[in-house]
Amino acid sequence: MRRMSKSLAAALLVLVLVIAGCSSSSKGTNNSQGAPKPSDTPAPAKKASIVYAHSVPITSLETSGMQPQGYPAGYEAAFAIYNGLVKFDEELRFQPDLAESWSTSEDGLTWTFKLRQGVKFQDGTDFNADAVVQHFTRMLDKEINVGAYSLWQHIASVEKADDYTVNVTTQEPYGGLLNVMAHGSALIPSPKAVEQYGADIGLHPVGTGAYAVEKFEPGTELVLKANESYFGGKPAYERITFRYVADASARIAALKSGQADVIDAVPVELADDIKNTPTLDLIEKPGLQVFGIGLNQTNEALQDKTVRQALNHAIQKEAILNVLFKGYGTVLTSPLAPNTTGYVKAGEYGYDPEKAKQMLADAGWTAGADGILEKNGKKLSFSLRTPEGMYPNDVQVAEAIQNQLKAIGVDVKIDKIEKSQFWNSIKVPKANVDFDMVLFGYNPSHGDGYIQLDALYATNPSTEESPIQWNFNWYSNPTVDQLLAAARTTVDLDERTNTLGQAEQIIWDDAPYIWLYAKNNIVAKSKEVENVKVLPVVFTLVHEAK
Amino acid sequence: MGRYLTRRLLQLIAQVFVLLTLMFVLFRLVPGDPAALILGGNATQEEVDRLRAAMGLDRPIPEQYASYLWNMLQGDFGHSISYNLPVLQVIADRIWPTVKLMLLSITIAVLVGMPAGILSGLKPRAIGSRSLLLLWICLLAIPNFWLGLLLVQLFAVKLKWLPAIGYGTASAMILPAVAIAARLIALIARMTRTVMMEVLSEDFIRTAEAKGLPGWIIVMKHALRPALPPVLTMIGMQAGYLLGGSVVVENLFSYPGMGQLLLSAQSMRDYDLMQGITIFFVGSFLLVNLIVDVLYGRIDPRIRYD
Repeated sequence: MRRMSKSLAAALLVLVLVIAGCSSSSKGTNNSQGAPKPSDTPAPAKKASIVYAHSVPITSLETSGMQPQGYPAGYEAAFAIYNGLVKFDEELRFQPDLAESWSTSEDGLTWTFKLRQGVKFQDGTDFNADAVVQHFTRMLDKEINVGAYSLWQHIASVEKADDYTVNVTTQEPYGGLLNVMAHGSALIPSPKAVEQYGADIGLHPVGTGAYAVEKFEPGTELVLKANESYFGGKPAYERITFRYVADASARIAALKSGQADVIDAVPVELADDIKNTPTLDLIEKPGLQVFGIGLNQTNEALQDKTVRQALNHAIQKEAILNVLFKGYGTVLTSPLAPNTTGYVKAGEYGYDPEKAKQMLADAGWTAGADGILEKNGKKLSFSLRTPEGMYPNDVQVAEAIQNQLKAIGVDVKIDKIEKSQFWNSIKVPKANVDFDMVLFGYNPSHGDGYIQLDALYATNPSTEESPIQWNFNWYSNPTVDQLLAAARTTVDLDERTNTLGQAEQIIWDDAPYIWLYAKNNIVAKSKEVENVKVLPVVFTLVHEAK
Repeated sequence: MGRYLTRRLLQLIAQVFVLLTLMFVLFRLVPGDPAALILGGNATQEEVDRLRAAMGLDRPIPEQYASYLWNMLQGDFGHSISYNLPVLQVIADRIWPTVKLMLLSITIAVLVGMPAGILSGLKPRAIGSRSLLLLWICLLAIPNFWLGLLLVQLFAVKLKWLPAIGYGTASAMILPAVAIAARLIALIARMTRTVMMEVLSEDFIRTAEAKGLPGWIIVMKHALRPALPPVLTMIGMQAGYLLGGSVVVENLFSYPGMGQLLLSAQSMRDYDLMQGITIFFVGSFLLVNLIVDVLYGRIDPRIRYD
């Protein structure tokens, strides 16, 4: 017994010592712990460092290959460390970044970028055309660019014209080139670092950006230190720590207790709580992810445009937003979300159940004994496929649609499907389509409306095969196809928007979807941190914070 | 003893092997294309196919299995697609934090639970004892996630005594450890109490009392020792379990342990990483149980292993 208790005691003692000894991992991350102390002066002293608690773990920071892993957090960190030729501002317009100016050739095939001079990478190497060409050439290699090749496939070649001028030539005139240049895969790493680290560059990223990597624990924490010689001016904060906090209520607790200064992905249920907290700010911006109910063209009843438009009038979209999303969303006025490149307002389908009933009656649908509309012995009855757990409130939205359509005599049966099965179940050849309606959300992470319209509304090349992109509703309109083809090769942005606008108008009228809403991105921060940029592409940019 | 150990170790390897095989096959049979899920909605079919080939998923399952085993024998547990690092490296970084949290939780549980159980066992029918019993039942019933949320709201948000994110300093580990320990405290305390009650009614205790030994020596020296084996076994099982990381609590506190790693690997469909973690979990669970069994033999001289 004595021997036992002695060894037990010894073990416990060792434990305590070990744990005490391991608490030395404080370092710079402690700067931002605890709330700023209250003081006599009205504005408390600004912190030297801030902490950004984000919802997706950052596991790798390389811009080629598999991409910064952990969307969107990996990209948000990458934008702090690197720069590209151009960048997005909050309205998704293109702003100069490492390229001071750009122009297109007469034939629209070659884009000439004039590079900023006197810029150095964080390891001292000079930034020049060689760095750009080296990176872009890697991005054009299918074997290396595993994560984003589909964006780069339009580019034929990249050449250095002189030390500070680069020419990018596309296969055909391509209006979306700037979207590619602003994408995370076009962020430029130091060629010396790429050579030095090879496959490990994801752990040791070196760019030209406002912040350099001080410490990186993939999946847990990333500490960035200000780059004093950043060409955009010395950043306001000495350090930014990116901390992965998976649970939303934990993020909010961290924000409230002062352990975090900025957090992303605030769920709508908790957003009001933050609004009511005086020391915190809520930032709400319309996002690009659009939701709608796809109306499959293999169903005879849905081939009638009047029916589709009637369905659009039967849904109370504001009510869905207010009840399920506490108002944090925007009703769609085009197949594209506002702020997507190429967005043009196409119209409105106001909530008007009487009009909907009238339209259906005019199309020959009359109420049967059970209240469901029918025509020629066929009932107006549909199956609505919805994924479970893929989109916020997906099943509830489907149920709301079911109820609202029932009110005008349309019967809807809900078909729930597990989220990992969802995409496989809808991207099937035309003959295998087994659903009439489907709840679908599309997020153009590159911001380009042309790509979105092409992905969802361009005619599929073959009915024997699965849709090549996301036109699983088998919508087809030759005029739209022509307009999209024209927009694709239009290099002048205003003209492109015009052409896309025409396409949007036609698609809107054709109503292959019950147009629902665009989700808002909700981010929260401490009142003292300013200039946190929230991009519609869900990115929360903290590197320009003051 | 040597033969016993060898036999148990071989059994352990066999068990891990069987589980590994089962897991390998199940992961690949589960519907849903991991390559599509990794690349997201914007990828083309061609990109998805290319990633699948890169991940080796287009080969027949037996072939994938064979190459996985062959690599494992050489120490290569695969490549984590989300970290872009070898699986072994990703897991190795997480082992120490997980062990730390486990040790702290168990320490708290033992330091609180055992004395409580002993005291309660001495006077089982007293009011204090019975209310303790009620408390332990509550601790068992409360989901540790909810307890964690409550602790965060109280100690981090309202009082600002402790950090909400459980990483970086020693004080950050306290809340997650308490959330995990709550249930353990209840288990240990109850078991200690029950065993104490049994042992204290034995004849040899009466002998010790008759000898005139002071009460606390009787308890600590003579009564506690027979109480240890079942408690130790239970601690061992819990320790083994905790080595896999308490997924829920780690996730809530963003504690960088194995549990959180498993969760993020699963959401990114990182097969190799998931397999590696599971092997580690199963292996360490079985190993800890083996250690406990051997310790059992040291404490209780009646047990012989051969």
